[in-house]
Amino acid sequence: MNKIALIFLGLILTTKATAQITISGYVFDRSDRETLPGATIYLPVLQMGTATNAYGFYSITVPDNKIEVRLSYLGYATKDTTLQLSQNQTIDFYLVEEIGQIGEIEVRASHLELQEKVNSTRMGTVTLRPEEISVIPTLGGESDLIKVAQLLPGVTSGGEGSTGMFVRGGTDDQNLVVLDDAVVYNLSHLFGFFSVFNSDAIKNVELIKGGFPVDYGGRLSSVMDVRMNEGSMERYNARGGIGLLTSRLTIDGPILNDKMSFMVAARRTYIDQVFKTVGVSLPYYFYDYNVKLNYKISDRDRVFVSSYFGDDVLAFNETSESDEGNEDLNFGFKLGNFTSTLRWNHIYNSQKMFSNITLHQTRFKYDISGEFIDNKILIRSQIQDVGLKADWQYYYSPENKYVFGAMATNHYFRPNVIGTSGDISELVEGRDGQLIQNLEGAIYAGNEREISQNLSINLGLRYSFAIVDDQIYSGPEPRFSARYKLNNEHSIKAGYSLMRQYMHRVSSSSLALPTDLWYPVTKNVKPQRSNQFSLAYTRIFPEDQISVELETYFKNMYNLIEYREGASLILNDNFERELLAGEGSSYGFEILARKKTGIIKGWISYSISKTDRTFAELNNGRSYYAKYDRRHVANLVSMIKLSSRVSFSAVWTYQSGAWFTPQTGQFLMPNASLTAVELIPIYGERNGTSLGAAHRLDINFILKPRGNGRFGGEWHFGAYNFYNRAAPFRVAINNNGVTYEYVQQGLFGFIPSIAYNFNFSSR
Amino acid sequence: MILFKQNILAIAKRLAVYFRLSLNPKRRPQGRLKWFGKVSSFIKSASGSTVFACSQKFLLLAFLVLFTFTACTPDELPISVQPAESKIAVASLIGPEKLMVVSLSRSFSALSAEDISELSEDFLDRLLLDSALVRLQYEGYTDTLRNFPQIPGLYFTQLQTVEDFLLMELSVYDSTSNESVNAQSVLLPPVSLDSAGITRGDTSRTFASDFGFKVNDLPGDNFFVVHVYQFTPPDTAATDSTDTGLFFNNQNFLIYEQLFTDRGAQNGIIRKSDVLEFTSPVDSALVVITNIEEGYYRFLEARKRSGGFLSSLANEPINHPTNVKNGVGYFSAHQPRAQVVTITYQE
Repeated sequence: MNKIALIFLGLILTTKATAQITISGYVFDRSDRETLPGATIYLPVLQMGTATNAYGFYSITVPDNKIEVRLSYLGYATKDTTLQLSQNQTIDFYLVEEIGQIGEIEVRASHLELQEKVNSTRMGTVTLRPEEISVIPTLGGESDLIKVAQLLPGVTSGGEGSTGMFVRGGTDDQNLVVLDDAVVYNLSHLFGFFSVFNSDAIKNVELIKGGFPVDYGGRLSSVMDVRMNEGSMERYNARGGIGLLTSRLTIDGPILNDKMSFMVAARRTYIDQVFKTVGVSLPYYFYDYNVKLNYKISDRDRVFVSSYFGDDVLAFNETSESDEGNEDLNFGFKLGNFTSTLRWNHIYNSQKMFSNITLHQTRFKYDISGEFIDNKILIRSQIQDVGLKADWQYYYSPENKYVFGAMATNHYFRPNVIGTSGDISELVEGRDGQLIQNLEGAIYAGNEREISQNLSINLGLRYSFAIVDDQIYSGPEPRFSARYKLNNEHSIKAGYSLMRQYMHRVSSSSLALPTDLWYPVTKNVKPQRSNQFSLAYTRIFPEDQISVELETYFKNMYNLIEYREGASLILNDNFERELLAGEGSSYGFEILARKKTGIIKGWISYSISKTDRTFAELNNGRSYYAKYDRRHVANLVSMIKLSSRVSFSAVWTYQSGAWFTPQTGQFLMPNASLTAVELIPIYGERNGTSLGAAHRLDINFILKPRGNGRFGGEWHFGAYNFYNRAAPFRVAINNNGVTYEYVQQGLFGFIPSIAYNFNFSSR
Repeated sequence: MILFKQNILAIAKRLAVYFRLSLNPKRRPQGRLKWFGKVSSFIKSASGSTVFACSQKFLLLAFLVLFTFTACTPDELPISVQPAESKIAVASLIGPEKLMVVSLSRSFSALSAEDISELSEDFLDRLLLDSALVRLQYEGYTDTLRNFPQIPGLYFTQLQTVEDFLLMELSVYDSTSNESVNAQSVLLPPVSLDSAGITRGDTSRTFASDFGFKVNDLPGDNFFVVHVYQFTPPDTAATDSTDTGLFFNNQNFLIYEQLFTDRGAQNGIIRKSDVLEFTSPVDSALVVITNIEEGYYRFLEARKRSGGFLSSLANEPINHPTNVKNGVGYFSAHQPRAQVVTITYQE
């Protein structure tokens, strides 16, 4: 550990000052003045460049006062400009979107983006943009960020239709999903079939599976960083969609011209209302809202306020007549997230330093309530986080960049609050639930630098801690990645990350509850920890606009938790007694070939992996497969532009079967007094039986009616599970007349869908 | 709901006919609006109900949503599951008069087509081992257990001695399957109730009674199980509170089982209390307390966790621990002690 710190300090001290003039600023979309994260600023003469950060900011220091700059961003016209510089200064750049253009402009932008893949030290990272997400066919024609992420190599899904993500052998709770820096605990609506992210409100998504940057922590397996649109500073926009299951509307625009903008997005299902028209009661719905305000205080300061609010609601009411009068039965639940973020971006006088300071709050709560005659029961579980995060990025030179910062989050957990009244209170005792408070924090620093033209390294150290009651857990989290460029088209990369996670989510292996419990570390429940090593080879084919990434990894995980065999999951106020700690390991190989431009776009991915778990008290101490250890996963995602008005997209996905623990035998056991017998089940090896492979083809046709000035629209005609194959949703036992047999039942067969999306701009 | 689905299916069938006709160019309606109007009016006529008497656009939307939910259901796919190998299942207890009773049966596939709920004679005959060679070795003795008359699968012997901490070794050989199993158990000293009381006070809770008892603890870590039987004394024979022969009376239903340890014992006394739910207004209950080995305690704990409707629905799968080599179940040489407790009533 000390050696790592020494190396890190050495790198800082050996920095050479060669730069003279620094320019910095933001890169914007010309029409909306939305910042463009990941835009490339390249200086062809000097053969150096940089890219905008997650907030659209760049800083570059040059040794000359006259420079040629080439700016590019996929989907936007590349811009060449010459700058005459005399001193450090702020320069914002504006790029113009090229709608419907496929040609040299797009190819040039793609060239630079591809080159960045070879040059970057980042590994296991994939960026998704809303325009990609919106054309990929999904269930019911609803574009869904999480479902698209599940098509990336190294990411596997849970049961059919679920938004569960299992990244490189990790569990679903090991993914850090942040929306504008606020953690989102519950990712799904409708029991997991839809994600909570409204694609119209999203600007950019980055999924990191390995080689984690030092400013991310708190989860073992992945980071999904989702950024909301900021709202146009120039014009009013409205966009939305009408689908079979939901409708959505997003409006954004300026409040103060060139100073302040807003974005409001809303989405709701109307399943309940439609069913009501045909006399069927389906008292379920979900809704969500995204709101964002963007205020430009000065050229150097910007403030953002954003919030997400969404709920799933079931409210079942029935009145029946009896001898004693009408009897009311009410049952329902309400679960949802609320996040809010206040963010301040500041550019320091030197033009080289950028800071992002975020105050964030998250709440996830569920209530399950029931009422029958005079009996009432309410079960509630709640997590609330309040946190502060401060990041600084120092662009010392194009070859040398530092990041450092700190974060602290106070978690409040109150699992299993139970309130009862009436006779039921004699059976189920009411309780307030145990309030657990947990302070999690970290400080971190990192340096990314080009050692030579071929070799770049990214070295970081994060020190994290969690304080709960009188227990303090803490430890270092070293991060390292390096890139060696073989030439402009080939590079090899290596990385190592140690991650610590100070909370767990406990969920049943046999039952998918929407109410799985998040549980913090306590005196008895230790933090999770992982070591991940990865090695990658990146190859680009500039002429064909294709990038190919091969990556292999090995990951060890410690202090994972599982329920004890036979653990009672319902109305249990002492979860710790039911939890076991164990270890896991995962290794695999992934391929991603991706084409982001041209008439045919998309990607092909394949991964082969193996994941196991070892718990002393489970499976007689023998290692067993993780439930979602899927040996082979392949995805083919294609988007084909048939004409200027018609496009077609298709997704074919294949996943080896997940694992389950079947009951294979049983025996009769007399009771204690030999007066009766009980049937005792015998289960096979834990997760020892594989379900069948799941594969599916989804298609989507997009038809754009002829343009009508500022109003645009498109029809989506799609089909989910085109060849009607049962993907395992649940396991059932059938009697075939001769014997019983286990069968896997699919939830959704061939489902056609139709949706209409529209957009409108005031200019 | 069924009616709803039938309605939808009827609409879908007729709509399919309509679409087939409309694909014929000669019969195809002209223009988008005509097509739309025909579909809507068709839905109206097909339903014939006032439910559909709303705007045409909304009707089409409703239809599409409903079509989504009644779309094709994919065929189930079989999963290859190897049934568990059939093994000899062992259960045991030491009853009154030093009577060691061992029950032997065979485990069977969970995928067997037998109707387990009925437990037919024929099925039981196949499961219960009535011709096994069962031997028990302890303290230099070797007893060969005999079949209970007319009770297949149940073997017994009268022990020569029941000294505390006696190591007992059970061996079973089934000549039919050429299988043998063996197991060991330590005979733990019996434990008696120091006192027990059952009080029925709150009449609003039907037949519910408060139950409390004290047990004199033994040295070391100890594990216990207490059973309470709803007790209906025989018509004849005077009731002796120590007569454990009542133990086998089928009229005495088991209404309560609780596992506990001596953790938290104070001054060698373990105190416990709970609520009993009787099924009828009896005057007394049979309380049986047994000192058991930790392994058997774990077995009973597992059985308790896996029992019940809620457990089967929501609990984790569980494999029961066993001390039977090559077999399943649990061989335990435990000595229950029973006591009849009269229920007292409070005003």
